[in-house]
Amino acid sequence: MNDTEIHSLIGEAVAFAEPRLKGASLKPEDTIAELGINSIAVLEIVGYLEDKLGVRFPDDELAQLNTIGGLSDLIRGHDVAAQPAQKS
Amino acid sequence: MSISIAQRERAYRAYNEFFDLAERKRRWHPFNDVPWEKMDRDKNSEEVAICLETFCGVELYVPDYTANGFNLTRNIFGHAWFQANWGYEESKHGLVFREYLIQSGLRTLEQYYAFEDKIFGQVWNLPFHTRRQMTCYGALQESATYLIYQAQKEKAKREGAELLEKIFFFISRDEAAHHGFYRKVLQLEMEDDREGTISDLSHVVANFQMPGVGLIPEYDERLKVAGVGISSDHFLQQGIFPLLKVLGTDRRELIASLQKSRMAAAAARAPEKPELAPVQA
Ligand SMILES: [Fe+2]
Ligand SMILES: [Fe+2]
Repeated sequence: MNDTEIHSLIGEAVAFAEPRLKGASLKPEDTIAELGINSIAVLEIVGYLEDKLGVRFPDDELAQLNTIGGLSDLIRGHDVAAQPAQKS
Repeated sequence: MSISIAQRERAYRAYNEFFDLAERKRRWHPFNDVPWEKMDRDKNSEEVAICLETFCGVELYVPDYTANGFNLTRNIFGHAWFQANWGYEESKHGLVFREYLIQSGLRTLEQYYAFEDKIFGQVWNLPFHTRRQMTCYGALQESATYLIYQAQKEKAKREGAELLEKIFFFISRDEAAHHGFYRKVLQLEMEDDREGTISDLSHVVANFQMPGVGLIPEYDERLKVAGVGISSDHFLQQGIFPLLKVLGTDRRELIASLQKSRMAAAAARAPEKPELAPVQA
């Protein structure tokens, strides 16, 4: 996946977990805390990404998820397929 | 929610286990066991004062915590007696923080009483309204509190503040034991009703707030001082994930349960379809 695709997928995941952030322009440096995303919403975002990408992120890697950029790194770190899996 | 004799007996045994350990290994005297002679005013600062005052404020709601806790559990020995013991232990936490603030000179008596008046001017109410949901809340809240105090203990150790290190040693050990009891009860709840317990846990995690929110004066400002609160990623890693693991579940099951509850709630809110008028022949 290229950066644009990753960014757009993160936007979808964030909007799924926090509908009030639908259409928000998310920057890599935006922190999860500043965006008002709580712990359970983080888990929903991660779950959404896992379903879309067909991967499972280890729980201990979620510790680094302080920013939107951290979510991009998580996806890149797993070298996900160019063709995202369909969400079931 | 009705509770069977078998469930009451298991709660009683869980309480006895907690109480036995507390009596044998965890009792401490706020004046005799805390080395007050090691008070080192040079190691104090306004940041320390804000941390301790905030912790003290949260602990000062013990009358509301116990009153509500008793109302919720009064017909179940194991749970109600836990509330009594829990309240006793929590009462020492507020007392020690109060002593430190005054003995250190970080707060004058007048300042302390002004703060206490603000605290007692507000009432803490149950954030959740069933015993099982409050058990979920207790497990999470005690673990967050333990992590916060544990970090304070480590900080005091690094800074050579022996008195504070000892205080946070005693208090964080209590909080860990409180978390342990709630966790044990949740394991029992999972045996009885896995789906319902996970549903309650997901609801509580989604709506979780620390007890000081909305009650402690200038709480948001206080949270800017390092150590007053806990970051959500730290809580996730050190509080939520370990609890899920002990309960034999994981984040995916938790989220699936939450989404199912949301869909059920949305369906319940949706207006009913009007009945079709019978077709006239
Ligand atoms: Fe406490
Ligand atoms: Fe506690």
